[in-house]
Amino acid sequence: MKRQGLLLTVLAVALLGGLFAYGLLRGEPDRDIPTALKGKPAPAFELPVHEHYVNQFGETLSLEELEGRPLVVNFWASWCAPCYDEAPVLQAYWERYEDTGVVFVGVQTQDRGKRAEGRAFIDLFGLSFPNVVDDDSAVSVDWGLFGVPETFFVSRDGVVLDKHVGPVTPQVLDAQLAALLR
Amino acid sequence: MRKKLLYGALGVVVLAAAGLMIARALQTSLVYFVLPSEYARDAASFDGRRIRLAGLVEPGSVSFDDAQLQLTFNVTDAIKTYPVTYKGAPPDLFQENGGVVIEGQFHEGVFVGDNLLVKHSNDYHPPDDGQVDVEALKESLR
Amino acid sequence: MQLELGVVGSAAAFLAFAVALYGAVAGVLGASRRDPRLVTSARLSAVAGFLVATVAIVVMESALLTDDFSVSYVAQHSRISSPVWVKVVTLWAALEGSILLWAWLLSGYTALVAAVAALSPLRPWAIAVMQGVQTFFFFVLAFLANPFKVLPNPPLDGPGPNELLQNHWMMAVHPVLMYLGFVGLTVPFAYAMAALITRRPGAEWMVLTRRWTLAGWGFLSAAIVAGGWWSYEVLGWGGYWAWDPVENVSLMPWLTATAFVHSVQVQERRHMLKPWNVALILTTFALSVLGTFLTRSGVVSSVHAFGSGPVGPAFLAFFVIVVLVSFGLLAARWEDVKDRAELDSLVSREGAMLGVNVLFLALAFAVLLGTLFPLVVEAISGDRVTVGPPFFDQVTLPIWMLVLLLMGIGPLLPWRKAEEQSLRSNLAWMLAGLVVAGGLAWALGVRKLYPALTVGLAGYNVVSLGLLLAGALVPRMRLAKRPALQVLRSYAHENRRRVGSMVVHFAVVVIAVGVAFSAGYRVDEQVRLDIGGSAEFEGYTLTATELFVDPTAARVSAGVLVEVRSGDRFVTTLRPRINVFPGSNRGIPTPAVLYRPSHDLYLSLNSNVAPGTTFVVLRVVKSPLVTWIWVGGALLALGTAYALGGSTRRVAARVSVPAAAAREA
Repeated sequence: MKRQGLLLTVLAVALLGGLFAYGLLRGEPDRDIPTALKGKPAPAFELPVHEHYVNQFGETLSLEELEGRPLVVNFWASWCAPCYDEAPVLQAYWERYEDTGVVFVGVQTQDRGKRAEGRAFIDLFGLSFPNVVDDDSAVSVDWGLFGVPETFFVSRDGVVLDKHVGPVTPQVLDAQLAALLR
Repeated sequence: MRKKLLYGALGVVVLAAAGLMIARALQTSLVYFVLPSEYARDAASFDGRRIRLAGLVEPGSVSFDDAQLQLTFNVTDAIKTYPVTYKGAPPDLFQENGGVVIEGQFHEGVFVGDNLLVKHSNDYHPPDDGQVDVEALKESLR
Repeated sequence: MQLELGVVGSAAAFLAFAVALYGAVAGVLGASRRDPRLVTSARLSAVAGFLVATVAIVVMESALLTDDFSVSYVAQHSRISSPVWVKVVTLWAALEGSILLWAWLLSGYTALVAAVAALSPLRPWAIAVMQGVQTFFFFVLAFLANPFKVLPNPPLDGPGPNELLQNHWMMAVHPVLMYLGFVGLTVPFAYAMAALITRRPGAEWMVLTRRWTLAGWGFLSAAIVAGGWWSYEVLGWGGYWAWDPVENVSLMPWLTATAFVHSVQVQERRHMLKPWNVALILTTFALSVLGTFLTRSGVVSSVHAFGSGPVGPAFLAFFVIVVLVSFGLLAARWEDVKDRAELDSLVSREGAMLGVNVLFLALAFAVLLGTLFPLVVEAISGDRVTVGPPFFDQVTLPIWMLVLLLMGIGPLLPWRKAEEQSLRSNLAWMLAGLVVAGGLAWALGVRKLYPALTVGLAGYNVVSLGLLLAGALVPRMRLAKRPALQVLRSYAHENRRRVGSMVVHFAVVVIAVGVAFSAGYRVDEQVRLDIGGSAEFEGYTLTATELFVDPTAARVSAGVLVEVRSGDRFVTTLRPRINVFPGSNRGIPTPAVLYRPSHDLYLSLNSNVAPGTTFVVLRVVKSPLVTWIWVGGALLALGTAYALGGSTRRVAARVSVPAAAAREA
């Protein structure tokens, strides 16, 4: 009885454990999620520019103005902790790729009435790429945002190539920028 | 000794009955989760059974009769498309090209759904070369 | 130098892990070597561990209440504009915080056992086992899911907790009750392990833990009912139980724990069903660990789950270890545990308890099978399936009916063997009750099988309770020559356990009737209302008078005022609404409920409400007798609390008057 019992226990545990291990290993949905926008033109927008960039870009920045250049459009908010993780990464890559013709655009969204907090965010990381304010979050709805942070990669012809949900990492940016500049 | 035999026999009978009941219940109540193309491949096996049909809402196919509260649209996975009717208002996140899972049954070629679930995010659009990544679509609609 | 809260919290988590580890090791060594110094040290470390864990809790709540976004958990889950109570409950609103809460409650229970549990050879082992479990939880907290990580660049605000969790005050109650239940049941588990280890599998370990077990079971029962009510008030479909995987994993340990609570009485009195008892409590604990694994691993998808995280593999490993060690030990000690005596007759209290065990184990197995089946199917064929309410209802309803049947006759059966005469007469009365109640229901229009059967069984059970009371009171009245009420009062005072169980069984009947009717006769429709227009529904006239917007600091509500009339009489104004919380675009439909004894009227918005909307679509649900589920739940909690009160009495000294009376009758 002793041996049978032990054997039975081990067998049952092995089966259950195996089943659950399979469940765990099934994997998570890919973060570079194919998007319905993929292959479609990026939705147009014209948004007010944060005061740091007004001298360079004027009061507002529109997608039209950036036609012909590959874009990295990054959506963020002042209350979004992972955005604080990716901001230095974005800034570093901006400095590296600025001369290649790519434009990084930051969009502060889902942050109604928080312009001052947005300025503080920009100051904190010394972001030198243009950042605009999507106060009523309408643009985030147009672009089908899941949440923040989310980063879209738009080709020279204004077509959305891909998007990344969650904070971007150097690996992601390496791959996406290579594709953009091809 | 006789008591043990009696209990043992009773136990076996009970277990058998329970097993049969469970097996039957599983068979009749399992709801398969299928894409339109998967359903098309094997339509006969789902005959008369409830399924969860998953896919994208085909652009241009949505119509909502707000007097009768009847929602009609087509669900597609770029390989096969099926018409769907649903009695009720479209949920907030329901949109064209959005992911949707609808539970119900096929009636004469039209899928009559009574439970509409919308996945918020995870839209899927097949790459231009037409090769559908069925697994990716399914995964995004889980 | 100002010490960051995050650093203090991380230190506390790590220290709690170290103390628990020390306590487990010292406890094992002290118990096996019978070294009183090590044993005492282990006991003290249990108390110390609780203090350290409390520091961690205080740190986290402080960080939440002071909006300290340098603490990663606060940055990810809290928000400045949330009301104070939301900030407090944010502690357990997400994965890492829930682990912190569980670990803290566990350390509290362990400290309590160390401080007040009766001296016994089992105690050091039991405390060591609990410290072992604690070691795991604090390990996960400190190393895998540390909520106290310090963020170098604290964000200026956070997103706030999941909207569904901010929408209702029950968030403050249900999770705490649930964890108190699960953690409370760790105590009898620890003692059972101690009994196996020390080869003392007699009644000792159960008598020592009787109240801990009942308290844990009571909390779990209350938590499940509260969770159902919370779902009802919040989720918008007008139901309270969807056989969702996360709901199921809270139900399964409850089922085996219920069997355990009954079955231990057999061991106390007749020293039988020992293997059942040990197996039941081991299974209960294993199922609760399985539950924490399933809700925190992403293996099953659910509306309630915490989602996947790095803790999944850790909990799986813990589950495997727990089951291997506990059941392996049971197998190894089988000779000690197995019964020496045999059942005299199935028709006896012992037989009824055995029946309880079988039925509840069958229920637990059915629920487990249904919950895991989709995973099995996917592993084998890759197909995705759902196993939903049709399966669970089909399989469990007949068993529930059998449970109700057994619940009526069981308490009336005497120990050893029922006397034909009294059994027949009792049964006759009860069956008469069944027929009368069922017939009455039928006559009043109840034609569906399960509701009618449930009413019949309710009548049957009420008669049974009446017979039980009469059997207890009548002989006492004859002896004492006192009026019934006085006798009842003194009986209730002296027999808290018995009376408590009667109240609980009655509560179960109430809940059963509520469930049967609210499920069987539910009317669920989508109704379109023009603003200013009306519609008829089940005898009510619903008029949407106007839209409203109600912004507060915590959320913005937009909804519609609906006047409810019954015939010409104005009943009430309901305000179904959509709540939008800051930091999210998602609107959460928040239903409005009219509670009435005979049925509820439940309204939930199914369409968007914006300025200029000319009509709304409401989901309207009428659920008969659903309120009685919550009433029954409260009654059940009261009955359990009553049974727990009073002093512990030695089982042998109790005079079993009902049995004597039954013999006399």
